[in-house]
Amino acid sequence: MPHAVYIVSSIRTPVGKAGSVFKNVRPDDLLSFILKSLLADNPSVDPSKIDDVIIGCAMPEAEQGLNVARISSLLASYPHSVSGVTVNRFCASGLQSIAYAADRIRLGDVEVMVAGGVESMSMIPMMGHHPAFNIKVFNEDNIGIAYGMGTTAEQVVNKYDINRDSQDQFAFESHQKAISAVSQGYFKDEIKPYEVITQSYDLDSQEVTQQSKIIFADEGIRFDTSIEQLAKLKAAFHINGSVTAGNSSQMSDGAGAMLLCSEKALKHFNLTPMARFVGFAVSGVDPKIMGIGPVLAIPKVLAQCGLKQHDIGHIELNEAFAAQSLAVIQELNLDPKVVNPLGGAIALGHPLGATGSIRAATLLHHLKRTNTHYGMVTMCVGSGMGAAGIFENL
Amino acid sequence: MKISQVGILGSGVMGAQIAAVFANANIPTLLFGYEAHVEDNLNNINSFKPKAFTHTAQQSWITAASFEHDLTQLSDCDLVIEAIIEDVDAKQDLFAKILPYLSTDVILATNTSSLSVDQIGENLGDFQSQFCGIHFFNPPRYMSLVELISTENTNPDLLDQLEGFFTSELGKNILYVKDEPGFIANRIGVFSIATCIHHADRLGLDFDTVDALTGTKLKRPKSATFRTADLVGLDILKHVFERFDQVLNDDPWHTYFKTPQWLNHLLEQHALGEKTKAGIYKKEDGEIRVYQTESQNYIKANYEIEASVKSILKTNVSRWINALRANQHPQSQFLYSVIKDTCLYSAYHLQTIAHSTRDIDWALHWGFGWEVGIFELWQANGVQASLALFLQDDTDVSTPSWINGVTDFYTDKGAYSPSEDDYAPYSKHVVYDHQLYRPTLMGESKHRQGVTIFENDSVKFFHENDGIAIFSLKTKLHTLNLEVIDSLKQAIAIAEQEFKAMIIWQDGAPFCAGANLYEIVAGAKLGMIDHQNLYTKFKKKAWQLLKPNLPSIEDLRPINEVIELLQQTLTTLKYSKIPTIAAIEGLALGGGCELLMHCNRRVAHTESYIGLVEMGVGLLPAGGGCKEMARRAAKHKDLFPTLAQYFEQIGLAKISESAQLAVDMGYLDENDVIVSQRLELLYVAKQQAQLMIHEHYRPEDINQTYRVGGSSAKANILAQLTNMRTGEFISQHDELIAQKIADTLCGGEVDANTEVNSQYLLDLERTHFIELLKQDKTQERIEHMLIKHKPLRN
Repeated sequence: MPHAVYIVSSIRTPVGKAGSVFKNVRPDDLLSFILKSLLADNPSVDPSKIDDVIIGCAMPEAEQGLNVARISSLLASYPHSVSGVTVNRFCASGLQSIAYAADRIRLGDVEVMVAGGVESMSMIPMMGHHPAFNIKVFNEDNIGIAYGMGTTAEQVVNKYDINRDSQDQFAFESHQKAISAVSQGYFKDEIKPYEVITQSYDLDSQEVTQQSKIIFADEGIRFDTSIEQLAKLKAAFHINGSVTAGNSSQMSDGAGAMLLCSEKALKHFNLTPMARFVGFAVSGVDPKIMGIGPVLAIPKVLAQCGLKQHDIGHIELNEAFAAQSLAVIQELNLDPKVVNPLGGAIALGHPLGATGSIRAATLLHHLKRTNTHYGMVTMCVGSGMGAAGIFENL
Repeated sequence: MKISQVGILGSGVMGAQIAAVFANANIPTLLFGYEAHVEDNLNNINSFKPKAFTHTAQQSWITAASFEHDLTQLSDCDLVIEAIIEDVDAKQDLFAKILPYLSTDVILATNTSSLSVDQIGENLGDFQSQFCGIHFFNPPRYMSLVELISTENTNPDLLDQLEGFFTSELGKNILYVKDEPGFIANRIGVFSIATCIHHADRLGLDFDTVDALTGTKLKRPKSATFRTADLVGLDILKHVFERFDQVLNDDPWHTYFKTPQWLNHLLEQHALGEKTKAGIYKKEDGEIRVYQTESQNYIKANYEIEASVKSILKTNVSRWINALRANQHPQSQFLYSVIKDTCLYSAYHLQTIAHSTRDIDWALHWGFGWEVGIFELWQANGVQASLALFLQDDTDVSTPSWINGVTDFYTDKGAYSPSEDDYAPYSKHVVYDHQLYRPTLMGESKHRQGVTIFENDSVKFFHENDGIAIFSLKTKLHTLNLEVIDSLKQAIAIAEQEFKAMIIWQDGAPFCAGANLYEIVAGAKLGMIDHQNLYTKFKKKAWQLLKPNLPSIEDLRPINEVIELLQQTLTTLKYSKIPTIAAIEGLALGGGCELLMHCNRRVAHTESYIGLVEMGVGLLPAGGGCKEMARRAAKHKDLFPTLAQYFEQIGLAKISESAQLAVDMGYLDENDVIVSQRLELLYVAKQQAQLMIHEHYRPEDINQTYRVGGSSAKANILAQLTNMRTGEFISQHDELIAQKIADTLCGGEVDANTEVNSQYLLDLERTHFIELLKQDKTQERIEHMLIKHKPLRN
């Protein structure tokens, strides 16, 4: 009988647009800030009792390389005894890290874990600084590996007959739902405002100057967008295509993390759990239509957990593209009302490997707010995978 | 005095572009404007079309300054040019305002195209001797003409200094002009437009017909008459017409400057030409439409040029006047009348507006892009014979008395000057000592010849008794053909024995427009791609294409042999015992780019447009172009991003928009020399040759190996292509060509960072080139380029 896994805290940084507010903020700084905040929020927890820090990152190199999990936990003054590991399942990395952490507790091996995700797309581009494909990719069977994410979205458009209008409508609604959520202060509980300190050389005064600015909120939401504006954008990935910059997710910077405990630890540290981790599944699909991944992962995880689709009252479906989100909703006949009630990556941004942990924070806080029983975080994954995780509100 | 800093007063379109001319020459420039706009105006320069900066980084030479607060900074300027609105009072007020801030030895100038320089400067007091007019043409980066206008008080030493500075440092062509309305270029150039309007109306010709007649066929720019008017701006044209109408009361052709009704109509509709996207022409639904005066609508251009007129214009210009006059077709009568009027008008005003006939002709060459000046054309047709014809048709026309005794406008002694009643020689200013082959007009003697080493239909190989051999192309657009390649090989061998250095230089742009496609497609159509196959696959269609001069069929060699010969010859050029230097201006495309890349140093004019464009005709660079780019990439620690950049350049057939940008693209080296004045290219190239000789130049090691990107770098490019092909942004044939370019640039599918030698890459280039040439789609692309002069996407 597996042990129960409880989530005590789930927090995140605001999400910045790539090249914007966090463009000069190192991802290990973003992450160590969140790791520190996690301890500050739970003063009763003895940090030395944390067994391991598992962090997801999709392009783990340069500023987020060298095992960013270990480096960031040391930077966050975690005891030397707390180890760290970085995991990569591209866009599911931040959910995969939670699943791995939960599994350690479920087995009964450990009592306290930290899991999270981090990505700076400002500093590390998609595919990293030195892409180097294998030439063998170009035989017919594997050519989908070479497909850019936008190209796969156009394939999904064709295969599942998704039209441009519905994609733009979906994108518009993502922004509108996010605007509404912000106006109700919904993200405040999960976001830890980040103080950006910049050191630069001032050409006029000829001095190195330090400036500080606190970032409180997600940057990607377009308050002034309209269907008309979205309709004007040019297709970016096919000459006659329908996937545009406006109906795709944004490139972003951010970090998120959560504290997971066993029942024993809850009692020992006198903690109140937010939620229970229920289950996680991944599944592979043809890389050419990677966006359809959740169509396999969602039924798989439901079956594992003995739940039905209608049991899930809130689904955080990562909006890599409006096209693939619509295809997933259509194929599984998901109830659109339960999908992304606070908007998604089209409005809120998608810092690849951090997204799983960031959206988990959004989900857990909103489940609490709305008193919803079960919630899910799910996403498609580059090179053809889908991932889904289920949480139970307590 | 050295001009160290320049101040430009006025940050409007003209002021900003003039500032860019100085910035392009790395001269610190203060751009003055009103505080509210000047920063924006400065930042806007980088978005001008055509581009005002040779490189976006040149902007750093300009500092914005405000009329309100920064006038004290004027004291640091050695040259101050006013370029605000064309209004005498405004200009005078501004000068009054700035005088207290000027350095005592400043050179002060006004850039005006229509006002009197004398009048603008009348209140300058002590500064009058330091004041003149400097008339730039629009767009100033690209138009080489600068008219200098002195007043009675201008110190001649100052003009001398400006002539040297503008000519050498800014690469401009200077004409001294008198303070007459329109100076020289606009006076004659605008008259030429006026006479076209007049006769087109009289003979019922449409705008597009006039443009077809007065463009390249008449040896004038492609934009001809009305397209030029659109580019200049119809509002400006009307302004000049009105000004001429106002001040040229005694001009016998005065009535020509009445603003035509249709011009007013267009202006009422705010159709000002290019800048409002509608003028005499308008692009609608992807097609060019032309304004029709009767219907006041735009219709699809639909002109037909009379065959007999076309054939006259194909004959030598010396036959034009007689033949055009004799042909009764309205189009012929139109051209004859326009030429006749422009001849008579230029002669009538010569003494008032210019010193000699040369001034008018160069003004038309440099200011309006005419290939043949009006007096050159007249003289070619016989001065007195043509005049007699003109007078038969225009019995009461006014002619100047001096013309009666003149049989030539140009002789070995120079150009005719009515005020001297003699032939005036060229300016002896020292700056022209660096223009070794200073151009001359038809009828004047060439300034220099050189000693010929050998010469044939395609090349001239010569020297000037200084130990430096010069290799010059004579082919059309200086294209490479088999004879050029053979000659180059021979020339290098001679130069290595008998000379200390060799320069590849052309007497005029372009440097080289690439390989002769006729020869390539001929070979392909004859089935002579990789073997001798003279008669078996003879296709009649091939020869229909091959009207231009081609070697006889017996002289054709299989193309793979020709490519190998080109590769060997360029390798010899690169590794010859003596330094080889390319002097580049204008286009250097395909084989031309490969030619310059294989020289040991390059001297390039700012306006050099360099690129490996073989993709456009379905091929890849196979004269060592890919090999050279792979070799250049190997100098970077991380090969991959550089290879990706070079692939993109070749794959998209990109052309550098300046010499500075060609450095970024890797076609020019950081050590190469960029010059502003194209006529100084050979001089500077010789200086570089001397330098290399004195440095005891030795070639690089021919056996040197270098790293290639191999299969992983290639796979990266293939990934990019896969997405472009899947998104249907490129055709299947595009993808095939691009794959072959990628394979060559990356050195095939060897391991990343494998060391290879040049021969390995040359063999890859040649193999891929031949495979592509065998493709029908590539042959279609070449034919299309030859027939339609633009690339085919198939």
